[in-house]
Amino acid sequence: MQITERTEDTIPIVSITGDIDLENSPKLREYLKPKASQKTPRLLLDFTGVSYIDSSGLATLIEYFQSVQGFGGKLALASLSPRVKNVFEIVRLEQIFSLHPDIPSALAALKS
Amino acid sequence: MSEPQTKHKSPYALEVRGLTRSFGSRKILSDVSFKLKRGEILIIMGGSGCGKSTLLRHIIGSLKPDAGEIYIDGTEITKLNDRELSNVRKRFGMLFQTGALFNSLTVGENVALPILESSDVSASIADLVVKLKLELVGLTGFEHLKPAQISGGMKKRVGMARALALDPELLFCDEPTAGLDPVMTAVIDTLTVDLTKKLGLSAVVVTHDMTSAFRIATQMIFLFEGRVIASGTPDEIKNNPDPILQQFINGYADGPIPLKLSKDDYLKRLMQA
Amino acid sequence: MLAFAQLSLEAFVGIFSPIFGQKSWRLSALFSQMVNIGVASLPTVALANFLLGLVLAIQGAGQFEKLGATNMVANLVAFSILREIGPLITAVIVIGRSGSAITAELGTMKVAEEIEALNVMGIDPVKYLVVPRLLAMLLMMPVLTVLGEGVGLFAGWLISVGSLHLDPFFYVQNSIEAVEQKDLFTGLLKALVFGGVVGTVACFYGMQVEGGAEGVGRSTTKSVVTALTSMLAMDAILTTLIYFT
Repeated sequence: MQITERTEDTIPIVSITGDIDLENSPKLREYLKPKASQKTPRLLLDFTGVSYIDSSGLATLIEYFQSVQGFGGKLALASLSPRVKNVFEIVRLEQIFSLHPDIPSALAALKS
Repeated sequence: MSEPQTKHKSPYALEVRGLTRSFGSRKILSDVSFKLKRGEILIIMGGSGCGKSTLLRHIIGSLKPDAGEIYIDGTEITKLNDRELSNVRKRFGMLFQTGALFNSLTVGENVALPILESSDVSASIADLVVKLKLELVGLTGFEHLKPAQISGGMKKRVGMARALALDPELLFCDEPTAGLDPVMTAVIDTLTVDLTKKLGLSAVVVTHDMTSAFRIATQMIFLFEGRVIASGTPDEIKNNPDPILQQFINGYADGPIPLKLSKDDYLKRLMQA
Repeated sequence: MLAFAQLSLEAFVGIFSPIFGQKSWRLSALFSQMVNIGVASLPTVALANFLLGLVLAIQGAGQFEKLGATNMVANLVAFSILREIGPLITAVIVIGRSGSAITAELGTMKVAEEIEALNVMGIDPVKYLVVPRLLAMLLMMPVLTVLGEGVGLFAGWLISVGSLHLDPFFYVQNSIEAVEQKDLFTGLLKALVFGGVVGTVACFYGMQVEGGAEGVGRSTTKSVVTALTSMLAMDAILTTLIYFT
């Protein structure tokens, strides 16, 4: 799994490539932790390169989501493959996370 | 575990070839063969003592066959050593007939156990995964109870949550709906179907609950005295004229399936004494 | 026998593997087993040692009185408790109280498919279940023995001072002179070995259980009998090795 970051309109876009599984989710967790402690107000996770996410990956995202609630931070996920989206839907997480088909729509949602 | 879409060696999640096993002089399984495609649900049916639990124990590697091969995603498992077998086992989940929960651990700790034992994820992540899995089986908020404090049906649902803890590719269920009420049976059935359709899970379910079997099956096999006497899709099984099969799926008391003693024998014995 | 040797070997390898940088012991499991084995057995161990201390002093007094050497009671009580009675009676109590409990617990888990469930989850039941129990046994047996010995010595003192009218300080001094450091250490060595014997035997019979609740009962009986006889055999061997050579 690889993580790269760029900024667009002051919003950090974090692109993940590879599988977010039991082996890799701790790395993602370490990456997201400082984002939460720095109170990053808006964060976009680009899932274009993610072919698989398991429950530990979901849990990592839930934990980040919980930790940004305190300062009203926003999180959006973009470009999820149908299979990855199914993983969210089977535990009804699409109702909590803001999931978007592409980066521009996710950016728009974050700015609103 | 990673890239389950691309790493598959075989189009079949499970393949059993010519499995044979005797205990003493009793042949429990003879020449059992079948295949399970990825994303499908295979139902193994049969009366009590027909060998279906023994068959499942062979597939999960607890028992070794006298002859025959078992392929899990193309890997032959009957000749693996303990460590190799343990690696294959990480890819599948198993729901035991009684749930097989650890009585000294809480419900939450039971579900978290496989996660904490097989990876370096932190306890807080494992807790969240436990919450996700308990919600799947309708037991949100039961984390802190001990198995002794919940009913048999709930134990089985916790067993299901634990079997799903590591997001397995292959799920084995031994009588998943026995002891559950009709509504909970439907919940577990829907969950199994959802997981196969949405996540590509493959499942092997041993059951004699015919309603549940025909609701979820994509493939069925019928075991009788250790042999596969019928196999096919649910429709093929329904229309199979085999009298043994028809007696079983329709639940008739009279038919070719032998009871321990026939009527005549019983009366003869009764009068002789 | 082969299966027993294999389980013992795996368990001891499991105990020492954390030292060589493998995954660490399950400390919480270890602590709860130490409480199970140690704290739960302590009252009975103390009572048994107390009663034997009393009996030893009374029996000894009867014999020594004839020789006009009642103050030798201190010597008798001190060295028999430290060398022999303390470790022995403590092990007997632990076998009855905790060894049987371990066999019954593991046996019940075996019958309820829990051990198979561990295997299927890729968790080694020996590391997960046997190692903490055996290690707790190895640690707690010497601790219980020392505490039990203390209680036994106190009981001897109580009888001697209370009913034989021996001088309380002279009795203590006599006791100290009667024993060597070696006696204390051999007692502890015995306790350690007994802990190993009881732990491996109890776990082995637990993991062997077949055939429902009845099987658990059968295995528990076998476990207690085997643990007792092997413990006594080890006692004879150790005593011969230490005091006869």
